Amino acid sequence: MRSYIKHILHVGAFLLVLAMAVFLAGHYLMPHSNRYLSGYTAGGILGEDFDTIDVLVMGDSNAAQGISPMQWYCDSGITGYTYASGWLSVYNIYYRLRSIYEEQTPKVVILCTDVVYSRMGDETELQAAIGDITDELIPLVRFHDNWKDLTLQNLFEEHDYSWRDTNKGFTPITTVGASTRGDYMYNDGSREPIPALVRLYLERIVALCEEHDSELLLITVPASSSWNLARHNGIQGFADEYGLTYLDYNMAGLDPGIDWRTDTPDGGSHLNVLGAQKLTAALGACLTENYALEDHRGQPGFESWDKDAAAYTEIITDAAARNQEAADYQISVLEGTA
Amino acid sequence: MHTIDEIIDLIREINPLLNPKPEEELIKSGKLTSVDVMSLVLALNGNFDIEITPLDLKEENFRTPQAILDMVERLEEE
Amino acid sequence: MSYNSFIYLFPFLSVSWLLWALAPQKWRPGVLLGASLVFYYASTQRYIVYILLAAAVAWGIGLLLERLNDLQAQTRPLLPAAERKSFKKQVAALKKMTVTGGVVTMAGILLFVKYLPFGARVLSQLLETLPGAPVLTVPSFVQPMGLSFFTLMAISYMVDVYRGTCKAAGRYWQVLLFLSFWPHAVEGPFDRYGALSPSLLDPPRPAYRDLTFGIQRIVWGLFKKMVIADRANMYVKAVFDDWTQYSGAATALGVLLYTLQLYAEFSGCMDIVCGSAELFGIHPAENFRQPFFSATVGEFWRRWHITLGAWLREYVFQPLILSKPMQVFTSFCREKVGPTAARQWPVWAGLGITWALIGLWHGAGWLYLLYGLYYFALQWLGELAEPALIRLAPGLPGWRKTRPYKLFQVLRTFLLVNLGMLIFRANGVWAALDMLRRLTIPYEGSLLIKVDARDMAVLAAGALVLFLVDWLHHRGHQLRAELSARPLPLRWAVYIGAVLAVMIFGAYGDNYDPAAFIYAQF
Repeated sequence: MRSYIKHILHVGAFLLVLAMAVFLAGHYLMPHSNRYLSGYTAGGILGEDFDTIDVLVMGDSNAAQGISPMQWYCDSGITGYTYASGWLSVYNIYYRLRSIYEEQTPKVVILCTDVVYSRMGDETELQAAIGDITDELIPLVRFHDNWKDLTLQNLFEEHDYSWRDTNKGFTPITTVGASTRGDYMYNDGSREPIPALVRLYLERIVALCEEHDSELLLITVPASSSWNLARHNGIQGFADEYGLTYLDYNMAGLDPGIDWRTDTPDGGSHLNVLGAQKLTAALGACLTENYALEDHRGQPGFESWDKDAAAYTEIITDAAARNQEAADYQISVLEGTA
Repeated sequence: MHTIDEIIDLIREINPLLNPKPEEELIKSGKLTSVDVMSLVLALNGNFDIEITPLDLKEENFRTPQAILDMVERLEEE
Repeated sequence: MSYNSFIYLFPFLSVSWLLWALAPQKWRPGVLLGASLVFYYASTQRYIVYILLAAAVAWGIGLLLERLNDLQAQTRPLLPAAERKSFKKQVAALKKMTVTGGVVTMAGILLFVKYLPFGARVLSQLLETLPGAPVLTVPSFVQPMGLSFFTLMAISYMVDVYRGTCKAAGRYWQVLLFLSFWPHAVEGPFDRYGALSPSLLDPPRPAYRDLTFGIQRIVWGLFKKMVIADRANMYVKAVFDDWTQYSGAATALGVLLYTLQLYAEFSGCMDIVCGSAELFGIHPAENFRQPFFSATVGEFWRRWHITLGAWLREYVFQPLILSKPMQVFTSFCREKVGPTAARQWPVWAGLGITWALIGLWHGAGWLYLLYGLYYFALQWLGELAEPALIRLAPGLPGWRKTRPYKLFQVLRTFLLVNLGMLIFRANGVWAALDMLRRLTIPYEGSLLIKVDARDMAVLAAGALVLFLVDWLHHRGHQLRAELSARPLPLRWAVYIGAVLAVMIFGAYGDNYDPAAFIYAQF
């Protein structure tokens, strides 16, 4: 019996040292600037001052290309951030949200439900869950490939997580690739169930938002190539069960005026600037009507936002103009007058 | 009765570079490969009136020329 | 369930081990069987019926053979002397029929499921030359996991019982455990019932050394698979799938990296499975013995995928040469040609057939047949040329003992094996021949195809570590035991370093395509 105890202690001590080594290695392999912590410009949220974000949008590339929070600030002074990165899953989002809550106290959390049904590659649900959760819990696994960018210098530098994004997580896309899908929200009577593990983590997100007094709003960014009524029904079921508001901007009643010939760069997977402007405006209207959100324009502590607003206005006007050119060309191609 | 020299002569036909003594290790030393062993088996089957079966293809039967001779004499009796 | 997946390494292995260690001794084989069936079902679902069926056939045949033996032992003393010989002959004939029936059934399952489409293709190509030939369509079956492994292991069980090499298993579950034992269920090694069953059915006690050494071997296997093999795969895939875009040095490097990939992956997988079995005090057969230190191609195949060569030698090559048709052929040679031909030609024929089967075992296609025959040609020509070589260079036997010559032999074998690997990986017979031709065309581009300079550095470092470990093993070192005798800080540094190396340099995650285990498809 005594040798069992000795062995267990020995193994336990080894595992402890191993765990320390793994976390130390993970620390040194994390990116040095928050700009590279995540895809698109999601990492920029760490550069924002504490407790300044009132509306937090969480999603994948649909959100990153489709929702521009700076537009809300220009129009009504609402401070928002789109925390979105390609192929984020509900598992990723839960853990990211938890870490964002350490620095921010958003009043509204908008969850883009396109993440619920999407999956990279052909892994099984279990494999995807294990992979994503391990990534979140063990930074070394998530950032292990950064060994390629390590130099002797930056090994001893402190991480600098003060980078800020003018566009607050939005990435304007100005190309156009028409979608010819037609009606994609037709009723075939089905409802796509939410995978069990995904549902578990959705529930955890709901609880997390309650704990931090944020109101959770579910939306779906228009995406003609990957959304359908079955999925809508799946989410609606969940929303009804938990008493959450669900705005599906793919539905005819809520359509912000998306023209699928011009408002998408890739045949309906994502939105471009033209589409994003319409969606953002519709969402912004919903926010100002239904939520008591402060107008922060001109307030002390929000000077950087006012400055960013001016820069943003230039960026977006230019981007919209270029997008419109591409859109006009696309229309002419479709009508045979090019 | 057969002599050990008959066995050794057969081995030398298969690999002229060999000249083993009666108690010399053949298999483990690599002097006879498994292909050589099968050639030897065919030669033994042809020269003596015996039938070697897969059951007899054990290392102990081919370890040395003497072991081969013993096996041949045993099979002749059956 | 993949051997390098999180699910296998953590929940499956640890739960199985805990259940096994805590179970009373006579339930331990049951735990092994349960774990094996869970593993197999998780990977194949309803196709588990194949292995259940194979185990039933093997067990039934084994019992039948044993009944016949018992019958002979009991009845023979009771007979008058004159009838004994004929009785023995009758029983022997019955036994032979029984085992033949079993082997034919098992081989039939394998041939039907795996080779039917290829056979139909060959037949169609032959019939095409005749006017008005019918077009053959055959159903193609899903190949259950490990089919090529458990059918052959079932055959070896039945033949071993027939030959008296091992005793028949009394119970069905014992045969099922042998065939489905998860460490060898997917990619082998080919174990023998007589060798493996004692530790399966009467397991040793849980031991600290088995546990720690087993985990170390698993980590080493993971290093080979994830750091070396999966990384090399990126380059290899590009150059072989798109072979017309590459030539010269790029193609050559692709072949070398494929050899590295295949070796690192297959032997790494063997390390993972043998390490997994070692946790339970079980030692499956070894499949690799530092193959790249071989002096001849023949020796290479005794050090690479050892259990496949051994299986074919013992259950195909040897019985084939001693079989009736071959005896007829031998007599024919003796009468028409001479005694030398009589002992050489049947062996060559048997060798040719065996090599063809080695090739075809890897896949149902002309390419794999070519692969096997390539090695047959090398071995045959080598033997044919031997007398002429000795005459031309009488000093050759002496030279062969010198170190420079041995080095030459190792390098020559390495080159020949790499050419074989080119054939093996190519996209078909025409692709293989085309790639061989393209090796002579110079390549004017960067050799950093799908891998950057840093990845190449990791590959080179990994290959070096692999070579060093193999070289130490070749010299007889027992690395895990020797390491465990060193002081604690050094040991822990090596173990932790190994785990970190796998986690940091492993080719997994969003930047890499997942690479499945190559031999799992056979």
